[in-house]
Amino acid sequence: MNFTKCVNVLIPVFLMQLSLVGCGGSTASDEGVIDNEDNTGSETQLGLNPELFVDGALINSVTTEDCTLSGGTETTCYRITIAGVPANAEIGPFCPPNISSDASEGGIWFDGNGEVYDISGEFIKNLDTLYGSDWLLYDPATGEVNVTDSQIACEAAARPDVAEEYRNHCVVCSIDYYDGGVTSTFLIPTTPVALSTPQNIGRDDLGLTLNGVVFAPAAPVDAILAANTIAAFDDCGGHVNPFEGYHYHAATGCTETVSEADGHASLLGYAIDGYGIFAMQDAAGEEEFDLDECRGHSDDARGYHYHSASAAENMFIGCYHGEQGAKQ
Amino acid sequence: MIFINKISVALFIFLLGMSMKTSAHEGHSNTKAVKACHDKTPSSDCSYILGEKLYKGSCRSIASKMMCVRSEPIEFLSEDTTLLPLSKNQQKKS
Repeated sequence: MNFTKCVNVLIPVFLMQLSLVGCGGSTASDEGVIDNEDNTGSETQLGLNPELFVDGALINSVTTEDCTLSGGTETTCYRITIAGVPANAEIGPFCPPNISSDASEGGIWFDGNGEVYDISGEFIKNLDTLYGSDWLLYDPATGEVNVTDSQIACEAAARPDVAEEYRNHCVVCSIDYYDGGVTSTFLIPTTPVALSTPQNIGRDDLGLTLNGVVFAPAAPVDAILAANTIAAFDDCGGHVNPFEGYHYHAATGCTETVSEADGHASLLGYAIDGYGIFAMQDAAGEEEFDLDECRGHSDDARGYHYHSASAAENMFIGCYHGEQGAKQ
Repeated sequence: MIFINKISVALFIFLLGMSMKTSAHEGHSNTKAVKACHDKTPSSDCSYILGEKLYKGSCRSIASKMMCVRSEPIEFLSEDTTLLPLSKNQQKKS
């Protein structure tokens, strides 16, 4: 193909790609209806508190600026730039080196089917019984686990169209490939603005944690499994990809840096609409009984807030209760 | 022609990057949660069982796919399939 023909082919494909991004990249659908009357039923409504971020979680000081939220409300937002790596924990480990390795040498795996597995060597060895006879993520002769051990391998395996040579691999991307962390800047409303109708979650990040990491949407585990790969999470429920760096797909306790005096579940971080996301269980290990379809509810001390789902559900929250700021 | 070559190369690199970004978090998870909301409207009640646990909530669209979002505490199924709460103490919060 000469280059003129190449351009003729590429331009339509380019337009198709823009269309795909336009559809898939939105933070939320546009179904939400603005409600200027906060319908949380509580007089108190706590918004984001910049002082609660862990030392080292933020790149810059938090500033305040005018902003327009997803529903058109003009208000003020915090501008927050997170480091993109957990300020209070090490990243990893993810994949065990050998089928004789114990669980401490690997992370966790969840496939949305109700279990959270420790990725030990034994787990890797028995993947064929879990997912099928075509699964073999190790060398039978040596017991060594097939791990993506370079940036090229990581990026070839961390896509839906996984190259054949990286099928049957435990996928790891080192944060060192991405300058030690991918920073993200969020605009979060200083005072949350409730919607009268909750808004759907799209494919973009949901918010930010107090230790400087993004809450990512559900991990696409079916696509990962279709390639006979395990995109291992560390014990904190996070992993690294080439675009977001380190990000969380589950809450496992690592972001619980602030305890609530009344025994309420701990604050993990904030959704992009400014409401707090708290742990699933309170200090007594109990769940709330009155959550709405977004997995939120109100109380007198905090106003409206969310509670994260379990890691086994591969989900944090179910929808947005408020108008969203933006991730830039 | 050289100019066109550069455009082609730049476009190819851009498209490759966009393709990877677009697909980074596509695909779906939690098959049973999705099946629980098959043909249901948003906000409909839903439930599904994973292992010995019952998940109950309502249907929401997440990443353009309807799925069951749990809003009630996880319930453990006993041997005679009677639904039991996670703990006795949970009742105080209802």
